[in-house]
Amino acid sequence: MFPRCAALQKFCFKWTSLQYLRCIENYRLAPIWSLGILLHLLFPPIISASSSLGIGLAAVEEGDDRQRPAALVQGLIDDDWGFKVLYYGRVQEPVTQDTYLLTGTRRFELFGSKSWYGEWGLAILHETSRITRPRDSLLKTATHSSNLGLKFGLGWQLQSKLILGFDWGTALFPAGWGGILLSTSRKQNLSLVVGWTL
Amino acid sequence: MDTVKILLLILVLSMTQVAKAGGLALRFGPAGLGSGGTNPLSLPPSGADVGLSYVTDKKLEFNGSITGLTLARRDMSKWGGYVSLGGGLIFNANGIGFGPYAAFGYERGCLSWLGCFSIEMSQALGVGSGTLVSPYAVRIGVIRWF
Repeated sequence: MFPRCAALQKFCFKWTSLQYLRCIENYRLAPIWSLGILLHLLFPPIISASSSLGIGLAAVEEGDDRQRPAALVQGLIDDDWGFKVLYYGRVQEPVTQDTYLLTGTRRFELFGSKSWYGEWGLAILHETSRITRPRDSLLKTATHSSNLGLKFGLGWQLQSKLILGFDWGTALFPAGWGGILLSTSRKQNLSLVVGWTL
Repeated sequence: MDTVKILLLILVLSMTQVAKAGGLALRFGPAGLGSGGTNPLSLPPSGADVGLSYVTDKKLEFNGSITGLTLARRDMSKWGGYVSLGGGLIFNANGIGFGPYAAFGYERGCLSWLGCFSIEMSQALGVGSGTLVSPYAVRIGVIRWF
Protein backbone atom coordinates (compact mmCIF):
# COMPACT_ATOMS: atom_id res chain seq x y z
CA MET A 1 0.00 0.00 0.00
CA PHE A 2 2.71 2.46 0.91
CA PRO A 3 4.60 2.26 -2.43
CA ARG A 4 1.43 3.66 -3.93
CA CYS A 5 1.82 6.73 -1.76
CA ALA A 6 5.45 7.05 -2.84
CA ALA A 7 4.31 6.97 -6.44
CA LEU A 8 1.73 9.54 -5.56
CA GLN A 9 4.44 11.77 -4.10
CA LYS A 10 6.44 11.43 -7.33
CA PHE A 11 3.52 12.31 -9.56
CA CYS A 12 1.57 14.42 -7.13
CA PHE A 13 1.19 17.34 -9.48
CA LYS A 14 -0.74 15.18 -11.93
CA TRP A 15 -3.27 14.27 -9.26
CA THR A 16 -6.16 16.39 -8.24
CA SER A 17 -6.38 17.49 -4.62
CA LEU A 18 -9.53 15.41 -4.22
CA GLN A 19 -7.79 12.24 -5.36
CA TYR A 20 -4.96 12.91 -2.98
CA LEU A 21 -7.30 13.60 -0.08
CA ARG A 22 -9.07 10.30 -0.80
CA CYS A 23 -5.72 8.53 -0.69
CA ILE A 24 -4.70 9.90 2.68
CA GLU A 25 -8.20 9.25 3.99
CA ASN A 26 -7.74 5.60 3.11
CA TYR A 27 -4.61 5.50 5.22
CA ARG A 28 -6.48 7.15 8.11
CA LEU A 29 -3.68 9.56 8.89
CA ALA A 30 -4.33 12.21 11.49
CA PRO A 31 -6.04 15.09 9.64
CA ILE A 32 -3.54 17.82 10.45
CA TRP A 33 -0.53 15.77 9.38
CA SER A 34 -2.34 14.78 6.22
CA LEU A 35 -2.80 18.42 5.43
CA GLY A 36 0.85 19.03 6.24
CA ILE A 37 1.93 16.34 3.78
CA LEU A 38 -0.39 17.74 1.14
CA LEU A 39 0.95 21.26 1.59
CA HIS A 40 4.51 19.96 1.53
CA LEU A 41 3.85 18.21 -1.78
CA LEU A 42 2.28 21.29 -3.28
CA PHE A 43 5.05 23.54 -2.02
CA PRO A 44 8.07 22.88 -4.30
CA PRO A 45 6.87 24.84 -7.36
CA ILE A 46 6.57 28.07 -5.39
CA ILE A 47 9.38 27.97 -2.86
CA SER A 48 12.01 30.69 -2.74
CA ALA A 49 15.18 31.23 -0.71
CA SER A 50 13.12 32.45 2.23
CA SER A 51 10.41 29.81 2.11
CA SER A 52 9.87 27.80 5.25
CA LEU A 53 7.63 25.16 6.69
CA GLY A 54 6.82 24.63 10.34
CA ILE A 55 4.63 22.82 12.78
CA GLY A 56 3.43 23.92 16.16
CA LEU A 57 0.96 24.12 18.94
CA ALA A 58 -1.63 26.75 19.61
CA ALA A 59 -4.21 27.83 22.13
CA VAL A 60 -7.45 28.82 20.41
CA GLU A 61 -10.05 31.02 22.06
CA GLU A 62 -13.56 31.32 20.61
CA GLY A 63 -14.98 34.29 22.48
CA ASP A 64 -15.48 32.66 25.86
CA ASP A 65 -11.98 33.01 27.39
CA ARG A 66 -11.45 29.24 27.25
CA GLN A 67 -8.21 28.12 25.61
CA ARG A 68 -8.46 25.03 23.39
CA PRO A 69 -5.32 23.08 22.42
CA ALA A 70 -4.68 22.97 18.68
CA ALA A 71 -2.11 21.64 16.22
CA LEU A 72 -0.90 23.72 13.30
CA VAL A 73 1.09 23.67 10.09
CA GLN A 74 2.60 26.93 8.88
CA GLY A 75 4.25 27.76 5.58
CA LEU A 76 5.93 30.86 4.27
CA ILE A 77 6.14 31.11 0.51
CA ASP A 78 8.51 34.06 0.70
CA ASP A 79 9.12 37.00 3.04
CA ASP A 80 5.66 38.39 2.37
CA TRP A 81 3.16 35.58 1.91
CA GLY A 82 2.26 32.74 4.19
CA PHE A 83 -0.46 30.32 5.20
CA LYS A 84 -1.43 28.48 8.33
CA VAL A 85 -3.71 25.53 9.00
CA LEU A 86 -5.01 25.08 12.52
CA TYR A 87 -6.82 21.96 13.66
CA TYR A 88 -8.56 21.34 16.93
CA GLY A 89 -11.48 19.31 18.13
CA ARG A 90 -12.85 17.19 20.90
CA VAL A 91 -14.55 13.88 21.48
CA GLN A 92 -17.30 13.81 24.03
CA GLU A 93 -19.28 10.66 23.33
CA PRO A 94 -21.46 10.45 21.39
CA VAL A 95 -20.39 13.78 19.82
CA THR A 96 -17.16 14.41 17.91
CA GLN A 97 -16.24 17.93 16.81
CA ASP A 98 -13.50 18.91 14.35
CA THR A 99 -12.51 22.45 13.44
CA TYR A 100 -10.14 23.51 10.65
CA LEU A 101 -9.00 27.08 10.28
CA LEU A 102 -7.07 27.93 7.11
CA THR A 103 -5.54 31.38 6.77
CA GLY A 104 -3.58 33.00 3.97
CA THR A 105 -1.83 36.20 4.92
CA ARG A 106 0.51 38.89 3.74
CA ARG A 107 3.26 39.74 6.20
CA PHE A 108 4.94 43.07 6.79
CA GLU A 109 7.64 44.35 9.12
CA LEU A 110 6.65 46.06 12.33
CA PHE A 111 8.49 49.06 13.77
CA GLY A 112 11.38 48.53 11.36
CA SER A 113 12.27 45.16 12.86
CA LYS A 114 13.14 42.11 10.79
CA SER A 115 11.93 39.78 13.53
CA TRP A 116 8.64 41.40 14.47
CA TYR A 117 5.91 41.21 11.88
CA GLY A 118 2.26 41.99 11.34
CA GLU A 119 0.00 40.09 8.97
CA TRP A 120 -3.43 40.34 7.47
CA GLY A 121 -5.39 38.25 5.00
CA LEU A 122 -8.27 35.84 4.58
CA ALA A 123 -9.50 33.07 6.84
CA ILE A 124 -11.62 30.03 6.02
CA LEU A 125 -13.25 28.12 8.84
CA HIS A 126 -14.79 24.65 8.58
CA GLU A 127 -16.43 22.94 11.52
CA THR A 128 -17.89 19.44 11.63
CA SER A 129 -19.96 17.88 14.40
CA ARG A 130 -20.73 14.17 14.27
CA ILE A 131 -23.01 12.23 16.54
CA THR A 132 -23.00 8.46 16.86
CA ARG A 133 -26.52 7.02 16.60
CA PRO A 134 -26.31 3.24 16.53
CA ARG A 135 -30.07 2.73 16.61
CA ASP A 136 -31.51 5.76 14.81
CA SER A 137 -29.42 5.55 11.70
CA LEU A 138 -31.99 7.47 9.65
CA LEU A 139 -31.43 10.63 11.64
CA LYS A 140 -28.81 13.12 10.55
CA THR A 141 -25.41 12.15 11.97
CA ALA A 142 -23.18 15.05 10.91
CA THR A 143 -23.41 18.80 10.41
CA HIS A 144 -20.93 20.95 8.53
CA SER A 145 -20.55 24.70 8.70
CA SER A 146 -18.12 27.02 6.97
CA ASN A 147 -17.39 30.72 7.12
CA LEU A 148 -15.15 33.21 5.37
CA GLY A 149 -13.49 35.98 7.31
CA LEU A 150 -10.45 38.18 7.80
CA LYS A 151 -7.23 37.36 9.59
CA PHE A 152 -5.12 39.82 11.57
CA GLY A 153 -2.06 38.95 13.56
CA LEU A 154 1.36 39.86 14.78
CA GLY A 155 4.30 37.85 15.94
CA TRP A 156 7.99 37.33 16.31
CA GLN A 157 10.19 34.91 14.40
CA LEU A 158 13.84 33.93 14.77
CA GLN A 159 15.74 34.78 11.58
CA SER A 160 17.86 31.73 10.84
CA LYS A 161 17.79 28.35 9.13
CA LEU A 162 15.77 27.13 12.10
CA ILE A 163 12.39 28.78 12.34
CA LEU A 164 11.25 29.51 15.87
CA GLY A 165 8.40 31.89 16.43
CA PHE A 166 5.24 32.82 18.20
CA ASP A 167 2.24 34.78 17.07
CA TRP A 168 -0.98 36.25 18.32
CA GLY A 169 -3.70 36.25 15.71
CA THR A 170 -7.38 36.82 15.28
CA ALA A 171 -9.65 35.37 12.61
CA LEU A 172 -12.74 37.54 12.43
CA PHE A 173 -15.98 36.27 10.94
CA PRO A 174 -19.32 37.93 10.26
CA ALA A 175 -21.96 36.59 12.63
CA GLY A 176 -25.12 36.73 10.60
CA TRP A 177 -25.38 39.57 8.15
CA GLY A 178 -25.83 42.52 10.46
CA GLY A 179 -23.89 44.89 8.20
CA ILE A 180 -23.36 48.11 10.06
CA LEU A 181 -24.40 46.46 13.32
CA LEU A 182 -20.89 44.94 13.34
CA SER A 183 -21.86 41.66 14.91
CA THR A 184 -18.84 39.34 14.67
CA SER A 185 -17.37 36.14 15.99
CA ARG A 186 -13.71 35.51 16.53
CA LYS A 187 -11.14 32.73 16.77
CA GLN A 188 -8.03 33.90 18.56
CA ASN A 189 -4.85 31.89 18.41
CA LEU A 190 -1.67 32.05 20.47
CA SER A 191 0.81 29.90 18.56
CA LEU A 192 4.28 28.49 18.99
CA VAL A 193 5.96 27.31 15.78
CA VAL A 194 9.12 25.34 15.02
CA GLY A 195 10.25 24.80 11.45
CA TRP A 196 12.95 24.93 8.86
CA THR A 197 13.90 27.19 5.99
CA LEU A 198 13.59 25.17 2.80
CA MET B 1 -20.10 50.89 34.35
CA ASP B 2 -19.62 53.90 36.60
CA THR B 3 -16.07 52.77 37.22
CA VAL B 4 -15.48 52.59 33.48
CA LYS B 5 -16.85 56.11 32.98
CA ILE B 6 -14.63 57.48 35.73
CA LEU B 7 -11.58 55.76 34.26
CA LEU B 8 -12.44 57.13 30.82
CA LEU B 9 -12.74 60.64 32.28
CA ILE B 10 -9.35 60.28 33.98
CA LEU B 11 -7.87 59.10 30.68
CA VAL B 12 -9.29 62.06 28.76
CA LEU B 13 -8.12 64.54 31.37
CA SER B 14 -4.65 63.01 31.43
CA MET B 15 -4.49 63.19 27.66
CA THR B 16 -5.10 66.93 27.70
CA GLN B 17 -2.04 67.34 29.91
CA VAL B 18 0.26 65.79 27.33
CA ALA B 19 -1.58 66.90 24.20
CA LYS B 20 0.06 69.45 21.97
CA ALA B 21 -0.61 67.99 18.52
CA GLY B 22 -2.17 64.73 17.52
CA GLY B 23 -5.49 63.11 16.80
CA LEU B 24 -8.59 62.29 18.76
CA ALA B 25 -10.60 59.27 17.60
CA LEU B 26 -14.15 58.34 18.47
CA ARG B 27 -15.28 54.97 17.21
CA PHE B 28 -18.43 52.92 17.65
CA GLY B 29 -18.82 49.17 17.66
CA PRO B 30 -19.70 46.32 20.00
CA ALA B 31 -16.98 44.57 21.96
CA GLY B 32 -16.48 40.84 22.53
CA LEU B 33 -16.34 40.56 26.30
CA GLY B 34 -15.69 36.87 26.83
CA SER B 35 -19.31 35.77 26.71
CA GLY B 36 -19.47 34.53 23.12
CA GLY B 37 -19.37 36.79 20.09
CA THR B 38 -20.38 40.40 19.99
CA ASN B 39 -23.91 41.68 20.29
CA PRO B 40 -25.13 43.95 17.50
CA LEU B 41 -24.30 47.63 17.91
CA SER B 42 -26.86 49.41 20.06
CA LEU B 43 -28.77 52.23 18.36
CA PRO B 44 -28.00 54.76 19.64
CA PRO B 45 -24.62 53.35 20.76
CA SER B 46 -24.35 52.64 24.46
CA GLY B 47 -21.27 53.43 26.54
CA ALA B 48 -20.08 49.85 26.04
CA ASP B 49 -20.03 50.40 22.27
CA VAL B 50 -17.73 53.43 22.33
CA GLY B 51 -13.96 53.52 21.97
CA LEU B 52 -11.91 56.65 22.51
CA SER B 53 -8.29 57.15 21.44
CA TYR B 54 -5.83 59.97 21.56
CA VAL B 55 -2.80 59.72 19.26
CA THR B 56 0.14 62.05 19.76
CA ASP B 57 2.29 63.38 16.95
CA LYS B 58 4.92 60.85 18.12
CA LYS B 59 2.40 58.06 17.31
CA LEU B 60 1.81 57.24 20.94
CA GLU B 61 -1.77 56.08 21.60
CA PHE B 62 -3.91 56.39 24.69
CA ASN B 63 -6.97 54.16 24.40
CA GLY B 64 -10.01 53.82 26.58
CA SER B 65 -13.07 51.63 26.22
CA ILE B 66 -15.01 48.95 28.05
CA THR B 67 -12.27 46.46 27.12
CA GLY B 68 -9.48 48.33 28.86
CA LEU B 69 -7.21 51.31 29.33
CA THR B 70 -4.09 50.94 27.22
CA LEU B 71 -1.00 52.73 26.01
CA ALA B 72 0.37 51.73 22.61
CA ARG B 73 2.85 52.70 19.91
CA ARG B 74 1.50 53.05 16.39
CA ASP B 75 3.28 51.92 13.20
CA MET B 76 1.61 53.61 10.22
CA SER B 77 1.85 52.85 6.52
CA LYS B 78 1.60 55.32 3.66
CA TRP B 79 -1.69 53.86 2.41
CA GLY B 80 -3.54 54.51 5.65
CA GLY B 81 -3.21 51.19 7.43
CA TYR B 82 -1.61 50.93 10.82
CA VAL B 83 -0.76 48.52 13.60
CA SER B 84 -0.70 49.53 17.24
CA LEU B 85 1.11 47.53 19.87
CA GLY B 86 1.22 48.19 23.58
CA GLY B 87 -0.37 47.12 26.80
CA GLY B 88 -2.34 48.15 29.82
CA LEU B 89 -5.20 47.27 32.09
CA ILE B 90 -7.54 44.86 30.33
CA PHE B 91 -11.00 43.84 31.43
CA ASN B 92 -14.02 41.90 30.22
CA ALA B 93 -16.98 40.08 31.73
CA ASN B 94 -14.75 37.39 33.25
CA GLY B 95 -12.15 39.45 35.02
CA ILE B 96 -9.40 42.07 34.98
CA GLY B 97 -5.71 41.75 34.23
CA PHE B 98 -2.64 43.41 32.82
CA GLY B 99 -1.39 42.44 29.41
CA PRO B 100 -0.63 43.25 25.78
CA TYR B 101 -2.85 45.24 23.44
CA ALA B 102 -2.83 45.28 19.63
CA ALA B 103 -4.93 47.00 17.02
CA PHE B 104 -5.16 46.87 13.24
CA GLY B 105 -6.73 49.90 11.64
CA TYR B 106 -7.27 51.98 8.55
CA GLU B 107 -7.73 55.73 8.22
CA ARG B 108 -8.67 57.50 5.03
CA GLY B 109 -10.95 60.08 3.45
CA CYS B 110 -10.17 63.08 5.61
CA LEU B 111 -12.68 65.92 5.59
CA SER B 112 -11.50 69.23 6.96
CA TRP B 113 -14.23 69.74 9.55
CA LEU B 114 -15.16 66.19 10.55
CA GLY B 115 -11.89 64.27 10.43
CA CYS B 116 -10.85 61.04 8.79
CA PHE B 117 -12.83 57.82 8.41
CA SER B 118 -11.41 55.23 10.78
CA ILE B 119 -12.02 51.51 11.21
CA GLU B 120 -10.14 49.43 13.74
CA MET B 121 -10.01 45.91 15.11
CA SER B 122 -8.46 45.79 18.55
CA GLN B 123 -7.58 42.83 20.73
CA ALA B 124 -6.02 42.44 24.15
CA LEU B 125 -4.89 39.83 26.63
CA GLY B 126 -5.26 40.41 30.33
CA VAL B 127 -3.42 38.17 32.75
CA GLY B 128 -5.13 38.34 36.13
CA SER B 129 -5.37 36.15 39.17
CA GLY B 130 -6.10 32.74 37.73
CA THR B 131 -7.62 34.01 34.51
CA LEU B 132 -6.66 35.09 31.01
CA VAL B 133 -9.18 37.48 29.51
CA SER B 134 -9.26 38.10 25.76
CA PRO B 135 -11.57 40.97 24.79
CA TYR B 136 -11.76 42.35 21.26
CA ALA B 137 -13.72 44.96 19.34
CA VAL B 138 -14.38 46.09 15.79
CA ARG B 139 -15.20 49.78 15.67
CA ILE B 140 -15.91 52.40 13.02
CA GLY B 141 -15.73 56.16 13.51
CA VAL B 142 -13.67 59.24 12.88
CA ILE B 143 -10.29 60.56 13.92
CA ARG B 144 -9.76 64.30 14.01
CA TRP B 145 -6.15 65.39 13.63
CA PHE B 146 -5.18 68.78 15.03
